[in-house]
Amino acid sequence: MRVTNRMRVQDSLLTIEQRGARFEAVQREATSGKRVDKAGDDPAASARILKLRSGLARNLQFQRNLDTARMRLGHAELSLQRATDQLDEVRSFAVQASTGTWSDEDRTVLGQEVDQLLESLLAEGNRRFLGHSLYAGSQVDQPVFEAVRDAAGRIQLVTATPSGQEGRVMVQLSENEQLQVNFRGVDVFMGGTPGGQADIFDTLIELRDGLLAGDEDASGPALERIDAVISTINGTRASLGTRVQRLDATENQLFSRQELLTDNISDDEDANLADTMMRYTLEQTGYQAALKSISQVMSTSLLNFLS
Amino acid sequence: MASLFGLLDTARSALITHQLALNVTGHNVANVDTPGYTRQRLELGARLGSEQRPTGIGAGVEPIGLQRLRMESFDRAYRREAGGLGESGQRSAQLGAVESLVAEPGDPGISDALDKFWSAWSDLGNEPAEESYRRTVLEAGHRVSARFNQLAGQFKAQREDLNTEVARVGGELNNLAVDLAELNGSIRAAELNGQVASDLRDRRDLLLDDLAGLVDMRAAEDEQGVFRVWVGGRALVDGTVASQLTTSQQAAEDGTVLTRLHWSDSGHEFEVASGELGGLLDVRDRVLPARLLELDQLADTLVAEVNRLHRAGTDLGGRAGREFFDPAGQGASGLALSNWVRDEPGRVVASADGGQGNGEQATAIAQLAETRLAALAGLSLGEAWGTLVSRVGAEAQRAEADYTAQQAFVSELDNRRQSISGVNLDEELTLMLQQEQAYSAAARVISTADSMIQELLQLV
Repeated sequence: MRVTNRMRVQDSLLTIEQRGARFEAVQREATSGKRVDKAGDDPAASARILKLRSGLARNLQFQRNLDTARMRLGHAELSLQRATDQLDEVRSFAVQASTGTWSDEDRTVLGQEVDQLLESLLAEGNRRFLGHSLYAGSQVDQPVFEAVRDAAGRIQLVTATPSGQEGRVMVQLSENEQLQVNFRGVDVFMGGTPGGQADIFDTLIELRDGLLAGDEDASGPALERIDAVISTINGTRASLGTRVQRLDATENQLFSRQELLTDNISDDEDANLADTMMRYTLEQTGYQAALKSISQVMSTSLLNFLS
Repeated sequence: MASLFGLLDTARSALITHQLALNVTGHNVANVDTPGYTRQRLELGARLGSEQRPTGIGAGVEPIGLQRLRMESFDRAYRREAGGLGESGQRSAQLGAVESLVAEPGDPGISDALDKFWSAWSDLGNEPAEESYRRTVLEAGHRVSARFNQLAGQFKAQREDLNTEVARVGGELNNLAVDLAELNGSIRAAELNGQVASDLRDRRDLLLDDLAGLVDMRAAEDEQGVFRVWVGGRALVDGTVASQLTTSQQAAEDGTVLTRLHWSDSGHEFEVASGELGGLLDVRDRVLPARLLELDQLADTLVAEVNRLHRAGTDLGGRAGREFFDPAGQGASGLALSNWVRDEPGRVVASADGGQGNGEQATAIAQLAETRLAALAGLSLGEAWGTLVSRVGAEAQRAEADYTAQQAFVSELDNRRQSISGVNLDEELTLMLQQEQAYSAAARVISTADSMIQELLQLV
């Protein structure tokens, strides 16, 4: 085919434009480290990357939720520990009182100690932290237990408020998994039945009144009831322990998933730098070769040879 | 007749003719870079000795015509594909712009805003009695709305820009029509005496090339020499008569105003199939409306689903929840927080059972991130957006590939034309040497004849 000057020029210009564009694209990939920047770089991968990123964001969210759950359960554990310690104290008082060697004065003092512990356990039952009530349901602005007091301010009766018992507080740990992080006050402190055998408040009121009245036989039945309460609380702590185990297991899963998602995103999105640098060198060399050949072709003419 | 004076005449014809040939070569050389230039050749013929005795010795050389070296079939092939080039060029540029507007996955966009929105609801679900977490939810909701509003606005703005482009092309078509009609007249006039008006034809061919890039066209010269150009099935130029196009503003179904082109004389709509105009209209009237529809559907579904769950819950004041997003807002441009919750964080719902410590309704809203929705053909909101992004990317990628391929193809066709019509300097210079030598030789013949005549005169 006959070749003209304009053809040479136009072909050279087209080569510069297209090779230049390819070179620029590889440069962009090398400097950004990303294989996929615009959606058109890899349309299918773009949709995948967005989906994986959303998955990763949700995974991080679940990890945050899990930390919240851990904190709540941790506070519940501390509270139950305190309650247990106080109950152990009450128990030892009750044992002492049942030996029958005490004087009326000692019994009065003991009675007052028991009253202090009663107030303390009531406070524990109503304990709040950071705006959350440990033993309420979802009505967190209501008290869990209410005390009826006499003219002297002494507790005569403790009731469980109905609104303070209902509702679950749940934390979302994963797509389909929720964990309840609250405990019903009436279950923990009253064994499920207000005024029943395991009602700690009723037990302590009875014990206190008995000690203050100088009744030697008050502590016997009280011991049985105290044991029932301690057993209930231990049951709660066991349940709490099970929940913490679930948290641990879920946390491991979330962490593995996070690593997997991050890897998947990187596979799609990130440039393989070794590959990119190789293509960079190729394109650069190709571009330079094209420019060189253009300069030689353009400068060769019959005029060079005519005198 | 063979005589010394005849010889002078023969050599004289050679001098004049080769001088003329040199002029033509010079014209070619001068126009080596001129776009659309067709090289010319002087056709030489031996001059007959005399009419009475044509078999005798001839009387030199004479120019018998100016050849214009051009193949019309190559021009037709080029112009067919030039339309495709114009179209793919515009589509590539415009769809690339749409891709940049969508921004993701390179830069944060709607997907990122949605992720943060669901996250805010999830955090509220953990701390349902807190007002500060509600503020975060409102901020995140506002950001999502802003992103949708912005993208829809940008798509609409691009459609407006394309209106301007359509009008521009209309103007260019009008100018081309007028210029072509004028050239047709000039060419007819110049060729009355039988000569070929090569340079004027070159100008016309150049205008036809430009026209081919803008719209699909057909051109032909009939036996009477009348040159016609058809565009969209109708004659744009008929000899020296140029038709014109006018623009009109019409409202589409969705309320946007579109610029349309019409034939001025008949009022009929101007129909195109390819060329730059075809590409512009395809993006303005097919691609952008489709993307806007998908975006609107996404926004409307978001509003419906969030509001549905929000209404089923209880807010911080124990009140039943109302709408979170403005239900009267239509599509992506109308996505906005409702007046009910906008400045009232306490009205953001979190509880499912009425208790302040329960955050299950907020958590349920956060679950919308993964929920497959019937309104989106079984996709989640994130997946539907991802599909939109993927579609935009695939279209842009394909348009660019088409453009690159078309560039190479058209370049090949142009080279084919050039190989016939283009100027090769080496060639012209070689011819110039030849013509110069011929001129020198003819001059030598003259001096030889002259010295022979001198000798004769000396005899007397």
